[in-house]
Amino acid sequence: MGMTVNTNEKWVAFLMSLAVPGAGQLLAQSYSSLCWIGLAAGAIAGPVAANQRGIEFGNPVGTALWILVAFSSAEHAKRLFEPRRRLTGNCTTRQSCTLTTRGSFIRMRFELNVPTELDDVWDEISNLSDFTCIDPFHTRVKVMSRQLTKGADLALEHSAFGIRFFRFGRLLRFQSHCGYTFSDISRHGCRVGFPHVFMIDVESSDVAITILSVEVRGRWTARWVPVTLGKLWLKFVCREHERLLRAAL
Amino acid sequence: MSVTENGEHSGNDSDNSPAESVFDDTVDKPVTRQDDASRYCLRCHSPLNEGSISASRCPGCGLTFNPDDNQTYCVAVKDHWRFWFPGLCLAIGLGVLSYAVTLTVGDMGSSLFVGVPVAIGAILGYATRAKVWSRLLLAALTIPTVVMLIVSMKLAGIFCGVALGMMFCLPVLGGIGFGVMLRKILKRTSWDQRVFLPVLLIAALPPTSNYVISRLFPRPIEIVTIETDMTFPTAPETAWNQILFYEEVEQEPPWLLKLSLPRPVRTEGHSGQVGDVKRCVYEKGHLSKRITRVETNRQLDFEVVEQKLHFERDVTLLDGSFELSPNRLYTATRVTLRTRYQRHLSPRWVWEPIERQVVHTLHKHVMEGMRRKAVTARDFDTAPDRVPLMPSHPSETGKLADHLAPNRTSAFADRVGS
Repeated sequence: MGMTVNTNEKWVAFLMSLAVPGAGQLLAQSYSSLCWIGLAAGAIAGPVAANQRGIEFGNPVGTALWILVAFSSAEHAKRLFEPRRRLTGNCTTRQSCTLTTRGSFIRMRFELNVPTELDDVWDEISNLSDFTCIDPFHTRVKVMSRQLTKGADLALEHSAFGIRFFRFGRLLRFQSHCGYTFSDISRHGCRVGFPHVFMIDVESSDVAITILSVEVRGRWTARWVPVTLGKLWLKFVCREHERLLRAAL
Repeated sequence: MSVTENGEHSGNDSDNSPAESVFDDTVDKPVTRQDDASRYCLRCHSPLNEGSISASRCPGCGLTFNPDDNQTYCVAVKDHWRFWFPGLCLAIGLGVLSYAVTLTVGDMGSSLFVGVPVAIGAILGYATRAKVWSRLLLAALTIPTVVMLIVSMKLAGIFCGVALGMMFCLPVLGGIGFGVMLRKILKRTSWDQRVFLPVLLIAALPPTSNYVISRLFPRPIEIVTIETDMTFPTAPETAWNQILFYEEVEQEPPWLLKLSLPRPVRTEGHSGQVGDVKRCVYEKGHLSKRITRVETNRQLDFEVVEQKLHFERDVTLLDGSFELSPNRLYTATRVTLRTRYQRHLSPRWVWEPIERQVVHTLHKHVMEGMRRKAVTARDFDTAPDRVPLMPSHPSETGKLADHLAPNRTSAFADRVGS
C-alpha cells in the first residue's frame, strides 16, 4: 500500500516555507512554489501600495497577512511530502474524529472503511513499525526487544516542527487479526507530556470491507495550557491522523 | 506490571509479564556489537554496563534494549543543549519582558537597573544545568542579547544600551548565584510546580516591586547643576557676541555625543533681550529656551520652556547660564557654561558619572565652537587693514549693541556679506 512517509523532510519543508513561502515547495520540486512566491510578494507589496495610495493599511494587517500566507504555504509544503490520496482509493471515513473529555482525561476515536479483506488489512497494520508511523508526528517506532510480544518496550521517535525527540511505550495487547494497543509516554514519566495509549482494531464489516478503528486515550497534563486549547490541538492532530491514514490505505 | 482495562500502565516499569510469542519480520538485522563503554540508554541516558548488557535492561529505568541492535541504544548523549538552551531562551525572553513592563509601570530606578538583571541571572542559574564556566559563558551571551533586543524594541537608545550592558554584568552574576542556590534547595523538595512557578515569580518581581515602591516611596526631586569652564583668548565683548549670536557648531562632535545625544540641525529665533525665545532644532526633536537675564558681556541666563527630545524620562532640563569673567588685561575671558536639570534615573551612584561626562562633553563641544568663532572674529578685527569692529574698552559695549541687528548671525558674517 506504500505507507512510507519521510517525516523529517516534511518538517524541513514546513519550516522552509514558514520562513520563505514557496521554499518548501521548491524542495518538493513542485511548480506551486511560483504561486506561493507570488502570493508572498503580494503580501509584502500590497500594504505598501495601498499606503502609497492613501489607503490606511496598518502594520498589524500586513503582519497578519504575511503570517497567513506563511502558515498556509508551510502546511501545503508539508502535505507535498505526505502520501497523497489515490484517485482510485475508496477508503472512506465511517466515523469522523470524535473527542470526548472527562476533566483532563481525553478520548478520541475515528473509524475508516477500508475496501480490502481483513487479512490484507491485518498484514499491513501488524507491521507495527511502519503502520504507527502513519501519524503526524511519529517518525520511527522501534521494538526494543528481540521479538514483538505483549509487554515489549517500544521507542517512538517523534518529529514536530523540526524538533526530534523520543517517547517510550509498551505493547499492551496484541491479538492476531483483531488489533493491538500500545502506550506512548514521555521519557520523564507518565505524569507529564500527555501520556496516552493507541488502540488499533480491525473488524470485518462486509465482503471485502474492513473497519479500521483508531482510538487514543490519554490525560492532558500541560497545566500552563488550558484544556480547551489542548482539546482543539488534539482534535486537529486526530483529523490529520485520519487524513493520513485515508491517503495511505 | 498490570495493565488496566483502558490499556494504561500501572506499577513499576521494570516489571514485565511473560508474553505471547509473535514472530516478527520487522526486527532489524543484528549489527556488530559496540564497545561496552559507549552504550547509553535511549530513555534515561544511563551508561549500559556489562551487567545490564547481559540482562538486556537499563540499570537506571529498566528499559529493555537489544545489544545486537544499535537502534535500541545510543552511543553518545547528544542532547546536552537541553540542559542550557531552554533556560537561556527563558532568561532572555523573560528578561526583556520584565524590563519592558518595569519601564512602563514605574520609575527608572533600582528595580529597572538592578532588579531586572538580577532576575535574568536568577532565571539563568535556576533553569540551566551547567558548570560554573559554562554559566559565565551563558551570562556573557545573555547580556548583549538582552541589550540588543531592548535597543531594537526602542526601549532604550544605543548609548543607554551600552550603559545598560555594562551595568547588568554584576547583578546578573549575583542573580546566577541566587538562582543556583534556589535550584539546590527546591530540588530536595517535592513541590510539583517548582519547574515553572519560581521562574515566573522571579520575572514578575522587578515590575511588581517597581510599581509598589514608586507609589509607596516616591523619590524626592533631585536637581543637579553642572558647570564647565573654558577660556576664550579674546576680549569679553567678542566672546559675548559669539554666545549671543551662536547658531550651530560646525566641527564634528565627539563619539560620546554622537551616541548619546541627538544631532543638532539649526537654531531659530533671537537671544538678545530678556523674553526672547531661541529654538534649537535637532534631528529628532527640539529644545526651546527663553532668555531670563541679560547682563551684557557678563551674564546670560535662560530657562528651558520646551523639551521634546528622546530622553524626557531620563532628565528634565531646567535652565542654564553663561558667565563671562575677563582677565585683568581684557585679553582673555573665562566662560562658564552652567546647566541645571532634574535627574530621573537612579541609583545615583551609577548614573551621576555618566551624566556628568556627557554634559561636560556637550558643554566643551558647544563652547569650543564658540571659541573658534571668537578667535576668527578677533583675528579678523586685528588684521592690519581693518578697522576694529569690537570696542577695546567695556564702556563702548552699549554702542556695539545699537549697531548690531538682532537677527544677524555674527559680525564676521556681516563683514563678509558687505
